[in-house]
Amino acid sequence: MSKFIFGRYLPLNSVVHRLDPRNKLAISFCYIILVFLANSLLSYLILIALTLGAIKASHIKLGFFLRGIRPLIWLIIFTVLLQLLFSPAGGHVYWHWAFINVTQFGLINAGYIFIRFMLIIMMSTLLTLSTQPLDIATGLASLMTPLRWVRVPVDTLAMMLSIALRFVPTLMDEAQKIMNAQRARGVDFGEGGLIKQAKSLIPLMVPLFMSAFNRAEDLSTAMETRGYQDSEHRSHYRVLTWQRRDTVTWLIFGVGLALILISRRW
Amino acid sequence: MTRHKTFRLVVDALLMAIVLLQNILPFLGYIPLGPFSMTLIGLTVIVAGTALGPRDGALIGGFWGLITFIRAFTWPSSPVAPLVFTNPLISILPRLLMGLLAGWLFTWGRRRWSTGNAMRLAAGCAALVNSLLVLGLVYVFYQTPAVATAFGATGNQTLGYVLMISLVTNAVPELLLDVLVAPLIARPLRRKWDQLTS
Repeated sequence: MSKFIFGRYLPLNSVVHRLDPRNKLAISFCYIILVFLANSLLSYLILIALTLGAIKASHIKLGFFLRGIRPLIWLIIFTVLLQLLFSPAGGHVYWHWAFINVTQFGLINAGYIFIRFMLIIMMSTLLTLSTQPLDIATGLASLMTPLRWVRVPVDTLAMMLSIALRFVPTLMDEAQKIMNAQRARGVDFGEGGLIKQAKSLIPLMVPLFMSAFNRAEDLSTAMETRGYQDSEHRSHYRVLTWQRRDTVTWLIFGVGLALILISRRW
Repeated sequence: MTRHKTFRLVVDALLMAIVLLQNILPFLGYIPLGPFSMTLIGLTVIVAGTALGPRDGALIGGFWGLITFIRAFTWPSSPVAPLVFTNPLISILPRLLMGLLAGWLFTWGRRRWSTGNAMRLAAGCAALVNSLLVLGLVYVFYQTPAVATAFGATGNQTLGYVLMISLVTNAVPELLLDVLVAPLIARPLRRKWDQLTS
């Protein structure tokens, strides 16, 4: 579990860390579209340069990223192999014939998919490493504001999201505590066959949900005694400001987009 | 009235936190089954639907779907995820409907049978609908060449076939698990929720 670095926050003080979270979220979103737009060797080189530049600017070591990707590498290789083995004419019948004929096509395709996933994973890992979870929640909430026009309760959802993010570590500790307590009483977690594993989940899941429910009761009482009425008509303590560096990142991103559109095979 | 509104908001938020936790800690979210795995997150969605209601079930289910969708790009949970769940119709819709259905079926069945039986029915149908929809939508999208090529797969019937077999072998144990475990969790929560709202 500790091997995964996705979703963790690394407190440093770099340009990337100080960017507006709204900006980072929007850029990551557009970046994914950009990755799918790229389809020639040159456009991928531009993308790689952009990504490495962003990582360099964040002062996080590249090795740290690569170590984080390691647990995922088998998944990626498996996906790439699936592409490689099944995209040329498929299945069992044409195997030998197609193996010589179509491999070049499948190989290039698989290579592109490999690069795509590496790039997207690196960029999204950079997002979570350089942004605090609550900042992500605030940023998402403010990016969702236009949805208010179609009557989506944006403020309520934002409130839920920030409560949920705040309670992930607390519930994680609690789950660990329940597991240890049940182990002390002789429950074996993660051992045996499917049925045995599923059975061992009951003494973990039932208390976990029950305690979440009780916690919700306490928390809602505490919120109301502090004058919480509803999510609308509230002012905000954390106010995000757009700065010059945010504009600059969009300029760089725009140049990257233009270059990729030019070098793309249409 | 506001009392119960705030409580509902916080409970939904905490269930979302549990879904997030199940994604972060593989032990809480999945039971490995060879190359594929059985998910326990559906359990949380069914609990949300049966213990609180269809609206909450849909919310938690939709949240799970959204996470599945984002994870397919950034942090794939299984080798098939990047091929299938990058399509929001396949990742979000089945989960959302699953929570909705769990809530509806429970309120419908509650008037006829005991709480336990209504919950078992709701859990079974919800799990089935989720698996069938994922399977069906994959089947639909792998037949049309436009989407197949958009996925980077050029005309591969075999891949769709393999996916379907794996989903079928996953769906049955998942269904059994949800039917057996969901009522155990949901029943005490439902009792408490009824006390609070009545």
